[in-house]
Amino acid sequence: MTNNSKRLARQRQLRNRTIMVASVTALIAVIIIVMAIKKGNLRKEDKGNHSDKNAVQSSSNINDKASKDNQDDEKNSSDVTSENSSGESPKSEEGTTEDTNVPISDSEFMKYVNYENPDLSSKGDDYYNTDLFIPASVTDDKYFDTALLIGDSRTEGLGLYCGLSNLDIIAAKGLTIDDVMEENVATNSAGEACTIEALLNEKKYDNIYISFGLNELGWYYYEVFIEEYQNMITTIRTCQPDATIYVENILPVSAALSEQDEIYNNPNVDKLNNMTKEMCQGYEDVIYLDVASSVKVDGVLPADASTDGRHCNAEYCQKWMDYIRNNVYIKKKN
Amino acid sequence: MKKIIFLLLICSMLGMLSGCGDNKEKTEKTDNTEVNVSELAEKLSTELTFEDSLSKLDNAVALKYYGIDETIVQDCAIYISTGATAEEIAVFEANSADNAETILAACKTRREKQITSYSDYKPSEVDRLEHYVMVREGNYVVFCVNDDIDKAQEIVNHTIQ
Repeated sequence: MTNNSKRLARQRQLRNRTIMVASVTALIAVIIIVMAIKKGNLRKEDKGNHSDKNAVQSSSNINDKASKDNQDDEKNSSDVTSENSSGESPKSEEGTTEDTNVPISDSEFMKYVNYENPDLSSKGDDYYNTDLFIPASVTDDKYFDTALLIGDSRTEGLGLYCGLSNLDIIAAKGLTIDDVMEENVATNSAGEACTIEALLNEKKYDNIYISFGLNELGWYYYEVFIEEYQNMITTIRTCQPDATIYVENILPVSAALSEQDEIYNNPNVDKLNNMTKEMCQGYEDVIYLDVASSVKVDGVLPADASTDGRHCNAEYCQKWMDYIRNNVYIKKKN
Repeated sequence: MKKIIFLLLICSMLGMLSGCGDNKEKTEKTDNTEVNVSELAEKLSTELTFEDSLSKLDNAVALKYYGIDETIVQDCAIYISTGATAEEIAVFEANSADNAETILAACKTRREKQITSYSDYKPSEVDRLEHYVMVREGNYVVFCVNDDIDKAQEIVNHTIQ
């Protein structure tokens, strides 16, 4: 091999080596870049922090209404509209009236009820003063913006399963008619525990639903239950003279529980319900709401409605809430 | 020889890149799995045995019930019993680790209040409330009351830890 060719061969060798080194370097660079991108993807983006309010509330009362519209306190107008026999809308307007049989109210919740042709097919054995009220049904769950439910563990379940976050509920396991107005079971606007009376003096409701009786089935004197109920109604009426008060009857218990329990049985439920209805009939303006009819089958709570024969599951709580929706009573003025 | 070396280099490059791709996929998978809150809650509800019937709550209702500001919650799934027992499932994804701590505190408060509620109403449930899982991992919080806490813990560990 000549010197020239040797030189050329060496140059060629050198060039090839250079190319190889460059390739390896490029390969390493690519690997490093890929690893860097991978690590960069691992890091989550921090999402903006919102205000860190820890608004813990008692499990027995839910009074926050973050989405509720503010509304002025408005009372039912004392005027009534005229009723047209052809069915002209009796929508309330202040002003002259010719007929006193049509309700008039400019309360916000009136927008969310149908009193012209409500579906009455689900109606049970409700009691209401026909001179004062007409039946209606809820057309929009905004109706519950100004509703309050008060009760025991069954009402607690109703509040959880009904899917309505705009509803105010004061309910707790074991709560009874004699201590509900004494204990600090409610929460005021400052987030402090308070009595129901204190809450009612602070916040207006259009419709108040009360449900007690299960925990009192073991009382020796049911008359005491009725007296306590009357005391409660008096207090509520004093604080909220314009609210419609609904006394819900006691839901039945299951056949299995009824047969083997001396206290939690349907004869006791029926007895106390009859006394409660009689109590409501003594009032001019209190509604007896037969919510029990919404879940009762052959006089009992069906076996598939509950695991303990007392507390309704989600499906039956929905039936209960549907009864409340479909059986509303609107005040009319005489 | 050079061609062979070059070929080897290319193969190793391709191999490394695909390896990186797999890791990325795993990373992505981990990022997504990062727990599907609803799936974890449902898994707990179906794979554990509950004495009572549990139903999933509407999220807004559930957060109100727990006293948790909904603005700090990315997602949640909460199953509550009828009240006959204290069994419960609550899975939350907060929008930050700090807010996850807030949610964890709310779960602790919830359990304490349940103990108070059941102590007179149904004392046997107070014993049940001793069997619970309460975990915070990153932005995730899990609270579960069930008799079989070992299995509950295993499900939670498998998903978020």
